[in-house]
Amino acid sequence: MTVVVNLHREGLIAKRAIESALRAIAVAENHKIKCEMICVLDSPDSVTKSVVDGHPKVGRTLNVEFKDLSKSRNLATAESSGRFIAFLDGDDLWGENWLLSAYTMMISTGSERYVLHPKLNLYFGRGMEPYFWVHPDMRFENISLYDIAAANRWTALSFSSRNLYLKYKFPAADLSFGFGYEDWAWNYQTMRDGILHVTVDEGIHFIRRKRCGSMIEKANNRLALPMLSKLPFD
Amino acid sequence: MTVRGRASMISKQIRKKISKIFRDKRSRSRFTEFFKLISQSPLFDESFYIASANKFNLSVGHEGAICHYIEIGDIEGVPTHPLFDTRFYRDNYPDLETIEVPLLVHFLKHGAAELRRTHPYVDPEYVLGQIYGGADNYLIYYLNSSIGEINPHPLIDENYIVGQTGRFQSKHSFVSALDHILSESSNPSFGFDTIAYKNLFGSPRLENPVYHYLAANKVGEIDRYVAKDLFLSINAQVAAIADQENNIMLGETPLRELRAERAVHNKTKNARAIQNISMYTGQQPIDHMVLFSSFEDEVATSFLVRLLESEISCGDACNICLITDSNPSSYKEMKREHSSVIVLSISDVIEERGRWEMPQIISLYIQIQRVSNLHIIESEIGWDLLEKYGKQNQLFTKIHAHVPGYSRNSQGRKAGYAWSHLPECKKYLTSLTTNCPILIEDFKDEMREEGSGGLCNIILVSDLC
Repeated sequence: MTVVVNLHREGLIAKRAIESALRAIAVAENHKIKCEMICVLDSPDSVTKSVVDGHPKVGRTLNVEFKDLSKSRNLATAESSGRFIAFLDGDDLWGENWLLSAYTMMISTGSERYVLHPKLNLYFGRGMEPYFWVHPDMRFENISLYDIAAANRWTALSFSSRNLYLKYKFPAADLSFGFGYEDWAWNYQTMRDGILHVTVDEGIHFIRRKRCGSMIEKANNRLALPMLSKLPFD
Repeated sequence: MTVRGRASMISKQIRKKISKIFRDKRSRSRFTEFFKLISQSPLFDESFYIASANKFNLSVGHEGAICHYIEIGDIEGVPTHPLFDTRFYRDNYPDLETIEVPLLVHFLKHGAAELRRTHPYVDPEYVLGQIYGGADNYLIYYLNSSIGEINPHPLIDENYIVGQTGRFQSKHSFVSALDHILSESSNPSFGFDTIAYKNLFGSPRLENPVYHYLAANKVGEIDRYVAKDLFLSINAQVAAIADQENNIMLGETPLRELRAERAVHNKTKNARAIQNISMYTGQQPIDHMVLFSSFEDEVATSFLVRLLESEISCGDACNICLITDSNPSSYKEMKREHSSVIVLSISDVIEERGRWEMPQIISLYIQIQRVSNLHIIESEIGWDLLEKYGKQNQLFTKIHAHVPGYSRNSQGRKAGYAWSHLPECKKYLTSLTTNCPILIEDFKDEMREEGSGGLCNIILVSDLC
């Protein structure tokens, strides 16, 4: 499988994200699952770049100037060689069992029309009490397009087949307009086409909350609806 | 107060009520009406009522249980059903103190429609959000659903409970056992750890933590705790990360509400409104959605007819949905002429009108149902919609803003709402892209110059006729 770490200007904390990915890779490789790692550096600052370049275990690095997470993810998908892809953002962390649990579940289902998310997210950050946030599972919860249009339900750190990410590209982010939110739109688009978003029971991600609040929280708090028309509908 | 004193006071109240009930013929007929309503309702569970009345030291037999409730049980707050807690209903709604009908009757006649809560375990808005097409009585609908189909509250997951405790023969047996299950420290969902909650309050003997939490309206005020069984499976992973990140702590990390309040509000309200539109329009895609208002006079109606005929008419297969904030009865004639035209008033779609609500709803509808063409005709809602969402929809929905010339009312003032500020309107409209032809009836050349230079395709309605 391919592990994609998206980096921008995370600075020293990028090291922790990379190491959490490497730990998850090590657990997966102990079970004979072959993994590759791609770090996408999108307009990085010098500290982030030096963290990645100086890390002895980082595999491939893609240097781009997109300033757009969606484009970075799409490029990494195109450049990947794994049957499955797992995305990690440069300031977040994975639980060490994430890759193994997700891979095992994906193989056991025998379907590539699943997008996997961890059951739990632990939000944390400087000066705040950490808290859990549970991802819904479409197998057990009745989630309609109306639900997903009203509020995003899953983070962007998903796991699925390369073919699926190739078919459903992340739409470009447009934060300047106020409610562009690429993985929200991606979740909507995939749901609309009958892809199931399901959770891995033993999966946990650690989402670092930024000073201005997490994207998902910010997006869900605002009055407006997501800019779903940003999707390549036609 | 002594037991005897209390009994005396109760009996005085009861005597007063009974005497009132039987005082005259009208009261007797009302009693009959109450009796009929209650006896036909699934919210009066006779066995449950008798068992509950016994707990209140009220003697009641199988015969006359309903009469007992009307005469005594209602005042005493005896619950009639596992999910109709008479006392909870009365305590939560002080405005019901003076009513002269039993609380169950009030709920059946008015309370359900007003989305009043009858029990801490049931969140009316949450239940309704899961019912496609809405329901007259959310509680009865819920009780008639199968187990796991509808959850009564975000914190009560029926499938989770069944998974923990085993199968139930019916919804009724599930609902009847719910209180008992939750009193035994079972978790109601992944989202609530009863043991952690008991420890939080320092009272391991707290009878039913879920009831305690929900009855005290503490949802959102106190963080819940992730169920231990879920936490155990990720404990080692959290411990590994906690070694490196100072602000991740092992132990009782709270679980936050999944969605922000507003998102929940949007979901419930929008989903219902969209379902309302879908109810009228069916599952067919809408070719043309027309939003309009203030078209009460003949000229205006003919304008709309002309528009329908000249601009958007595309044969019998074309579905047209008109949504108006004025009286839709004026358009019945039009509906007769065009069989594929559906005329809706805003009140068909939403119960309360808010400034942004309608544009949001329509926008959402367009996004989900892929309305091909959106027409906005001198409409307050249209203006809001265009202003806020016009830009978003242009990728797959063509927006046509029809701007008729505004008239003057009897005081000589310009009639209309947003469109009366025509220059501002043009400025906005011309900022839209070429995919949005704008049809304007009364258009002056100087207005064209205010736009951003040929970006928008302005068509005079008169050119079409």
